Formats: sequence, structure tokens, C-alpha cells
Amino acid sequence: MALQYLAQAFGAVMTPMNLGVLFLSTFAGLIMGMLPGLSATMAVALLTGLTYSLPSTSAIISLIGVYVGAISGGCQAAVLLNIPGTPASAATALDGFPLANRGKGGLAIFLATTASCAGTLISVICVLTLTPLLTQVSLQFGSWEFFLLSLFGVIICGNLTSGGNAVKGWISGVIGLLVAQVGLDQVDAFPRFSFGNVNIMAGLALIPIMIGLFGFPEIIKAFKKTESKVLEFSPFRIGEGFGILKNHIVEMVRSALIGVGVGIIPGVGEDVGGWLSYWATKSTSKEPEKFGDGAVEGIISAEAGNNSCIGGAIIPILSLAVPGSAPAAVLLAAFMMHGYRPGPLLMNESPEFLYQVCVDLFMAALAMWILAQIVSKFSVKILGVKKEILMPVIYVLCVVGSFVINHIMFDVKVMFIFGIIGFFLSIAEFPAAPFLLGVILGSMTDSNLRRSLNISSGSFMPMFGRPISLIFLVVILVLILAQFHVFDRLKRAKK
Amino acid sequence: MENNRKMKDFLSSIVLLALSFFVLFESWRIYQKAGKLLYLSPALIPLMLGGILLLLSLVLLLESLKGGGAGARVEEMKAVFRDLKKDPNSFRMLVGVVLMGVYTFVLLGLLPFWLATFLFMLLLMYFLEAGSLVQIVSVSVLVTALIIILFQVCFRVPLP
Repeated sequence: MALQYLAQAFGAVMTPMNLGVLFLSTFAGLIMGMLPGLSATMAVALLTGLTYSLPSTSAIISLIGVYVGAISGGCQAAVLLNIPGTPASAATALDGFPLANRGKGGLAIFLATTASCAGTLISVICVLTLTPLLTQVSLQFGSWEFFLLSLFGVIICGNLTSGGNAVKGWISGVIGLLVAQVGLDQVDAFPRFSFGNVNIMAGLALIPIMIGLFGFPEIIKAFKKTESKVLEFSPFRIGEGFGILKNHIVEMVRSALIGVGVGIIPGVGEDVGGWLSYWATKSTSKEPEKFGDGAVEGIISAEAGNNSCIGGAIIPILSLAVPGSAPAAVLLAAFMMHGYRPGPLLMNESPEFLYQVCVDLFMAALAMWILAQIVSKFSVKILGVKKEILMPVIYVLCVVGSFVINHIMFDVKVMFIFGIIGFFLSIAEFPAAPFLLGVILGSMTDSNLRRSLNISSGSFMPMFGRPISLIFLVVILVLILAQFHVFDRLKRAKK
Repeated sequence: MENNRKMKDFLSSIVLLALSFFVLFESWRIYQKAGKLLYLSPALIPLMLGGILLLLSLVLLLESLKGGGAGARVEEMKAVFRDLKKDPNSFRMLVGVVLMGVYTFVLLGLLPFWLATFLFMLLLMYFLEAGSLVQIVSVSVLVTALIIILFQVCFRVPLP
């Protein structure tokens, strides 16, 4: 059956129209990822509105294409400009730019894009094998488990994205959960925090919030006057590139697996995947001192790690309807918009969807690699576009992208307001990812807790009598206690 | 750098404390209006979240007060605002945000999309000194036309 679904999915992608959509959207993703200020989240969010009129198969192909393209495109700016095009490529800049400075920019981009492609392909295998397993586990979930899963998601996302102070990550997540409570509640349709406004009563749409949180702050920051120099793309021999990759295949595969693991964790995105993979390679290297000075394995690890996160982030979407990263959150919203219902029942209701997503991911990785080799020859020109011209254009796209979801100006205003909030969060160093995850998981938290309490007549005790709930509770407790150094104190007290 | 971070944490924790009180107050009103048992009430999660936010904001506030107390944080705040006033980039960012706000809340409500977009792009690019006036006008016309063609004509998506 699986082979039949795979053949059908390949057949669907191979039509001239869908191939055109795939290459066009991957190209758009590459360019958007390449330009600092346009993240993968923005790229997917802006495209979501455009896919309204497309057939659902083509729409999913285009969204996955733009996602893969954008995450990979970021490496070109990281190598030639020392500014990551997307946060996912931050680790790539550490070694990519020094290598480009030594006149090997072309080689650095080749290694980065090939590792990205390999990372995505490895993640496809993981999506195919791990999604059915996780779906089996998720079928055991009841209301308590879903409530605790949403709490776990916000807490671990806060821990891993806050740069050391998890309290700030948790605050960000709690505010996101609160934003999700705005409007009519799902159980009783009772208006909350709507102050009599009909638009607010309908709830706040996800895409405008995402565009505001992730796009707007980058636009404002780009208004600052800065000088940056783009390095030249230097020619290289492809054989040399493949030789290097062959010598570092272990690091590449390990990084891809780390990326998939990070991707599965709710809300923790491609940037963490890139950094963790980079760190793992550096800490196991015999020559760690080379890192930061143009080490090829640094580039390979960072890019294999961040791109494999894409597949990793898709796994919890398909099995639990919980996104693994910010761009994946938009992807989840887009899947729903096109009539798919990701979650534990997906494998029963539309099992072919998993195979379609995997084939789309596989084809997008190949399309990205081909296009990246062509685009890299013109990177210098693309990166040379003045941000003073680019940013007003991007803001207009943000306005259009927010409007096209529900066709109301209220959403555009929501985007602006959340943009201001996102800007202040960014200045005060609060991570935006837990905020976004909170907005997505807010209704799951609310409805599942109240459903559980309704069944147990207000008692929390059943939560402690269920094995999966207990695992979640223990992990949540450990995450919270670790932040307050309780275990360190216990160790010291023992000594 | 460390003190600057503490100053930011101090300021944000005060704003967050105010927000958590507001959430708790509003949630209590929802609880009273709904007239249900607390565990069935639509106010349950907002009350819990308001409480957690209050607790976390207090933790952040206490952390930010280490090393100098509130007096030191207020002095740092004054110094940062003095620097901000002198920084030309702050002015560029402020005017940029105001122009984006005017486009979103005023121009798009009063004028047709193409005219509002053209004017916004023209004004913002002119302010940011993106190029010569001819270049700015050309880019504004081109981008407005491209967006209309792409969204409205090719993809049949309505525009504001």
C-alpha cells in the first residue's frame, strides 16, 4: 500500500504544472531566504495566501518548496555577507564567511547547499519511519495528555530558545497562550477579552500574528544605517566539493539526525538544529581550534542540521498537529486551510497525505540543490539590493499577506500591532518562538483541560494515574527545576 | 552589557506585572459573568495563565534587581534613553514605524490600494534615501503594478 501511495505522490508531482510550481516556489524560497530580514516563516506565511486559488496538491508542493528553499537560501548571505539570511544559517556564517574571505566562497556555498539537500533527504526517511510510530503513540492520548503536551511544548520551547534565561521564554509562551484565549471560547462560545468588538470575538488569526511577530521587527531593524560588503562568488571544482563531502559523511549524517531530533521538539526551530549540530561536530572534532576559521565540517554540519529540521518539524505536525518550528506552524495552518486534518487520525482518514508530503520534501530538496547552484552565480547581485528599497516592498507584502487570509482589514491591523509587540519582545530579548507556539497551542490547552476536569468533576487526580501523563509531568518538572539550578544545589549538598 | 540586560528585564517585568494584573482582573470578570463552577468556567485558563504570568514576572523583577537595586536600574534607563535621543538610527526607525502605521490605519482606509501603496512606498523610500527621485518613483510604480498583477490578475486574490 505504501508503495502505491508513493507512486501516486510521485505521479502528482511529476505533472508539468506541479513541477513548475515546485521550481518556482523553491526559487522564491531561495531568494527570500537569501535576503536578510526575510525569514522562512515569513516566506511560507506570505505564500500561504497566494495558494488559496491553487488545487490542494499544488498548494502543498509550493509551501514545502518555499520552506526548503528559504531554509537553505539563508546560507548564501551567511557565506558572502557574514549576515545569515535566516536565523537557521547563523552557525553557517561562523566558518562560511572566513572560507569565502580566503577566496573559496563558491566552494563554501556548494558544501552548504549540498549538505542542506542531504539533510533534507535524510529527514524524509525519518518522516516516513517515525510519523507512523508517533501516530501510534498519539492514539493513546486523551484530554489530559493533550493538555500536558501543550504545556510541555511551551516549556521546552521556552527553555531551548531563550538563550539561557528560560523564564523569559516561558513568559513569552504564556503571553502566546493568553492571546489564543481571545475571542469566543471553544467549549461554551463565551466571549473572552473581546470588549464587545465583533472582529475580536471571532478570535485573532494566526497568519497575521506570525507575519507581525517575525517580519515586522526585521523591517524596523533594517531602517538602521549599516555598511556591509558582499564578497565575490569564486569558481571552484565540483569534484573537490564532493571529495570534501565524502570525507565528512559521518558528520553530515549525525548532524542530520540531530536536526530531525530537534525538529520533533515542539516549536524549537531550524536555528537550534544548526547550532546543536555545529556544536556536536566541533566538540567531537580532533581539531576544534579550526572551527570559526573556515572549517568545512562546520559548514556541512550546520546546514545538514538546519535543513533536516524541516522533516523533523513535520513529524509532530502530521502525528500530533503540533508544529516543530515556526515555519512549520504556518505550514500546519496552511494544511488546515487546504482541508487536511493533521493529528492522530490523519493516518486513518488520509494516509496518502504522509507520502505526498514526503515526496514533496524529496523533490523540493533536489529542486533546491539544482536551483541553488544556478542562483549562487548571481548571489552577489541579489544580495546587493538596497534594503532601503527592499523593506518598503516587504512591508507591502506583509500587508497583502495578512489581508488575503480572511479578506478583512482588521487582520492587517492585527499584524501591525503584533509587529510592534514582536519588536519590543526582540529588543527586550524575549524569544518569539514560544509566543507563537503558545498562540497555536492555546485552544488545545484550554479545551482539553476543561474537558478533563468536566469528566473528573474538577479533580486533577486522574492526571497522575495515566502513564503518558506521568511522563509528561516528570519531564515538565525536571525542565522547570533545572532552570532554577535545583539539581546543582542537590549535588553540592550531597558533596 | 549585563546591566543593560538587567535594565531591560526590569522595565519589561514592570510592564508584565501590569499585564498580569489586567489579565487576572478581566478573567475574574469573565468568571463572574459566566456564572459556572471554576473548573468548568471559560475563565479557568485565563486565570491560571494570569497567575503564572504574575509569578514569572516577579521572578524576572527580582532577578533584575540584583546588583544595584531599583535605583541603579532607573539610572541605567535614563542613560539609555539619553543615548537613544542622540542616535540618528532611532529617529529613522521611529519615522519608519509611523509611516507604516499611517499606511495601515489611514491610507488603506481612505484611498484605493494602488494609490495608498504607491504613496507609502514613495514616502518611505524618499525618507530612507533609497536613491534618486526618479529611481524611487519608478520602483514605487513597478512594485505596485507587480503586486496587483500577481495577486489580483494571476492568482485572483482580492487586495485591501
